[in-house]
Amino acid sequence: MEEKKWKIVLSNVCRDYDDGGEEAVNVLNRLNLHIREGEFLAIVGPSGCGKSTLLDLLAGLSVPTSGEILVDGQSTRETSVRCGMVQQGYALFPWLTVRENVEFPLSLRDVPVEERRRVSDRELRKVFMEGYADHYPSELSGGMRQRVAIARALASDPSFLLMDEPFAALDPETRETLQDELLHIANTADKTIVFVTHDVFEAAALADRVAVMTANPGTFREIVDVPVPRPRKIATLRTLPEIRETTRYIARLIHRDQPDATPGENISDAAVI
Amino acid sequence: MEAVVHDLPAESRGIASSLRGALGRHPVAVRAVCSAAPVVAFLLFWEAAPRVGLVDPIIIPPLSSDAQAIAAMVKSGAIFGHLAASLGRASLGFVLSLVVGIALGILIGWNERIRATLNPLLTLFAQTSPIALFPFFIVVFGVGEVSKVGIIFWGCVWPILLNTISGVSHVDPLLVKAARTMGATGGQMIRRVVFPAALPEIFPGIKISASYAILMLCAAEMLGAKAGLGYLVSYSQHVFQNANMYAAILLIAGLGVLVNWLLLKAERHVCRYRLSA
Repeated sequence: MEEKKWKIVLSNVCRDYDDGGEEAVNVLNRLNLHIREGEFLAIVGPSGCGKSTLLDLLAGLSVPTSGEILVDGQSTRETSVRCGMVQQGYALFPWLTVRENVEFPLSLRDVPVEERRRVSDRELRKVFMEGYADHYPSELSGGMRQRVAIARALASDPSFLLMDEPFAALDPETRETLQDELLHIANTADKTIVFVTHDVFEAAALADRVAVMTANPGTFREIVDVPVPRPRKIATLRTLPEIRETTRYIARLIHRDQPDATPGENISDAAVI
Repeated sequence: MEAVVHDLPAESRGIASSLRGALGRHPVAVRAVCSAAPVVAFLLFWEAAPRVGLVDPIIIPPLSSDAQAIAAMVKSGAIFGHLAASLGRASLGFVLSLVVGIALGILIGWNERIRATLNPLLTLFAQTSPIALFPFFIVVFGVGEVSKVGIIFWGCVWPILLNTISGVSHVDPLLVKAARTMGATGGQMIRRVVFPAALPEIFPGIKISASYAILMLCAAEMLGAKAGLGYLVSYSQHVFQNANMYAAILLIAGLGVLVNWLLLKAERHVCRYRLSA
């Protein structure tokens, strides 16, 4: 009844895939989750746990087989979702300049040119890319491309941001810089952010809560609170006992899911810190 | 990659100034001269061979007489009628194939099921020589303009259609997904994402089609027409005006080179973002 104050509500969300007559595969099973306005939620889990399927549902690209997703109190079945999506592969339009890419979502809605220009200036400044407005994506490094993708996602003033392993392809140094910038944006822009990652430390460092998923069928094992207030800085988070404790706890949750696996990537992620 | 960019101004500067410019200092100029040399040598040979008696000047007149024949036809105005007839047919057939090929190509390429169903049929059509089909066109459409433009269209449409289908099916799904989350409508998706993403693959098809347009034009005009460059070639041959025949051939060759050059320019402009990589 008090669903208005929640940004995103998942109630009993299931998603099946039937690949042509055969028995349907249950990819997501009975997901329940409430995401607050302005919250930073990270989703971690083993490969094949349905993270990408869940993101598609949140983005409104597909609808649940059963159950309901409410965004701002509206079912994704009835209204189209407008979210900002940031993907691992950047997904910038190579034939458009940096500025044209950022203005793309606005141009779809016939926003006047001056207004577009104002928004793209503002968003590019936020990600320190104002000097590259007339470059093509192919002229930029991976980190710069992802900055532009973030600016583009923010430019349409979306209802929330979906980030699908956005920093996975970046070198560690660039990744840390972008994580810090994202923390800053999350603080100042007051946007709800759903962030999928394989990196357990990244999840704990960035998010207010971490949803840990298990596979077959994909479901939430536990929603873990990260007991560290904002604002945060990546450099100090690495040695922070609370983060180390949370990271270890999440890694153990994921590991427990794969009992016969040798110490996997997620454990080694935790051991790195 | 850098050298390609520097090539452009050097090429357009022309051979004369390239020669005048420092030959030794400029590797680009040297390359321009080197690539122009075979063409110049061929033209010189054409001029010299009939004059020194290597070939019969009645059968192959020296280049200068062919050039005079062009000049005479320009002066009398006779050439413009032929040019207009040819350009009209070729551009009508080419533009029609451009519109139909791209529109159909997007439709077919965008839908995987249609694509899989139609692919064998389209391959069969594309592999059928349009010249072999010319009698069929005459039977169905008569000897008028319709069958000429029709055969040009038929020859041109396949490279564009097949390249568009292929280009559209190769569009990065991440881009489509990104545009969908931004709320792009179906029409916006086609116009703003699918078409520009497929364009680098469509363009080579357009270039092939343009050369086919001229090929089919000549074939069509030789087989039955009252005006046009192809008609001029076969008519001049019939009446033993060999200089006029070569003049028309030269004009057809020049037309081909010009069209190719224009399309290359257009491609460089449209796909410029790829050059900056």
